[in-house]
Amino acid sequence: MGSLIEARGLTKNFSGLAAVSSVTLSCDRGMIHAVIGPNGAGKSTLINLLSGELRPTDGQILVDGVNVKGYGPTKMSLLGVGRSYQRTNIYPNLSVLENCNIAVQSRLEISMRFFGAVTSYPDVEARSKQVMQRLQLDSLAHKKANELSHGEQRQVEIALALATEPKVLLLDEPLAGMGAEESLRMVELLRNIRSDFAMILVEHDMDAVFALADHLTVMVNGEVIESGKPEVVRLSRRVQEAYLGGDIDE
Amino acid sequence: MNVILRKFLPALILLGLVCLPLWGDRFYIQFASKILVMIIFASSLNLLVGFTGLVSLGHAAFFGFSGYVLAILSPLDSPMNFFVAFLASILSVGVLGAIFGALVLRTKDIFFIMSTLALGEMLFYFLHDTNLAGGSDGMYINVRPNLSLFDWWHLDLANVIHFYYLTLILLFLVLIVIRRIIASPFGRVLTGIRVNEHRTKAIGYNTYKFKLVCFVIASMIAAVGGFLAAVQYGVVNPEMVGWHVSGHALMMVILGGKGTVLGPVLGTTTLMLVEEGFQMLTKHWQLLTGVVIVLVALFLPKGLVGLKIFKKAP
Repeated sequence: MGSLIEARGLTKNFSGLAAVSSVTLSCDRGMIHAVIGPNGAGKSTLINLLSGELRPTDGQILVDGVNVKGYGPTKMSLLGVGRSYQRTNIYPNLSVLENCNIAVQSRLEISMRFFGAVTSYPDVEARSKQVMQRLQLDSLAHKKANELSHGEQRQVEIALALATEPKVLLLDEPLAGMGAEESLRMVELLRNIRSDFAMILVEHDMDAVFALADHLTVMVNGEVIESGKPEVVRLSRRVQEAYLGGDIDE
Repeated sequence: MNVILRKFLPALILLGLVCLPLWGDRFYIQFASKILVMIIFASSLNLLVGFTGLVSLGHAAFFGFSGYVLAILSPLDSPMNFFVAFLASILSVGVLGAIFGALVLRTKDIFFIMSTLALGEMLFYFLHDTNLAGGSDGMYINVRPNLSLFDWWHLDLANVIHFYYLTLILLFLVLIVIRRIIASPFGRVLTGIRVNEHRTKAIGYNTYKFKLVCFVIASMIAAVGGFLAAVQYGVVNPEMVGWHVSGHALMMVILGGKGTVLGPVLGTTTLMLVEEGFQMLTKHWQLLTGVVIVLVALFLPKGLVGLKIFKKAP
């Protein structure tokens, strides 16, 4: 199989409690694999496992065929796994451009240079500008991140991940806290960039999920209860009982 | 008026500093050198505290240890070669910095502060309670290092004016180095670590490595200060590595404004002048100094660099 990212039997126990148990999923370039489930289903834990922030108790993760056992977040990022966070995790008192610059620079071998000014490496800013353009942030380049609206900050959140030129993009509730209009905009942005990445999308907003996902995995209590094409999963009795049927949006 | 003043102020201050020995009397020149030395030390601490977000209470370990290296290397009755002694001090402190840094940087926040404090105090008691380097009395540097380039240029480091100029030049070099570091790609990573280390890790930086390199650089710059202090007084003692010295420098950094090149310069100068002034007035000078610090903290939360005239400064 040629999946860019693949999890096999992924399990994480927190002192006996299985937050994620035996999850198997994969995603390939150009594909959006959405993971849904009620709160506490283990979706964020799954993202944290896939991004190296947590170590699995059991199971394997393969990135582009490489077994990444023991890789922490830094190594995962360098391997091409970018992620965004559920709670905005950016550089609040720096400009949007500088936010992107820091992330872009991580891909260039210049970070241990002490004496040349950053301005003597115009490559960094050029790439940042491309990223900002893709996320429609270019008009805000010189604004401080903490002066932006919530929706714009969420875009910066994604920009930081994109700026590291990942192959795999793990998005942990990119629409968290957004209003209807902001959500639509974000869905549009994700649709525009989707072809370049293998995307794993954790999201509560069902409209967004069904608008974007090619593949849908439903988790409840750490376990996958259904996985497949969104149209099919939607009709599954188990899913309807456990999740969709009751309260779609909590 | 204000604009003109601001434009020429740096040049004026520089001119004043260069000319100071012409009219100042011996005591004041010595005192000025003392301030310059402390600015070097405070600036090195600022690299950690202000630019990288690492609050250290053990930074004096590097300041003092550097002086000790000079004292140990200096023969009893003849001068040590300045360049050899200088390099030896800076490099051995670099090694010490790498060892201390490798340990303390495994911790964060309050634990980081505590472990820097602990290592600093370990060094203090090591020097204080063993006889390897003079114990609690410290060591004398009987003959100041010899600073001459071949035979045509010579500085007499026991001469207060010569020493003052050497210190002034080194201070400027240090400030330039720090300025360049923070404006470099490396400095950009330090900013990332200070503002949001978690994210900086997640976008692919091995932050431990960057912090360690920064820690070593900061320790070596502190060593420049410590070396000069040892040369100036001709004596080193365990107090030089103690946490009081670290704490004092931390106050200078915060008073002046952390995270700016100018901050430690202002903070150190102000604090030392204020202390000196109050000492002449009263026995209870520390009380008055405390009041000044509290006032600055209350009204200038960013430190003295928050004053209007410095608004455009780096």
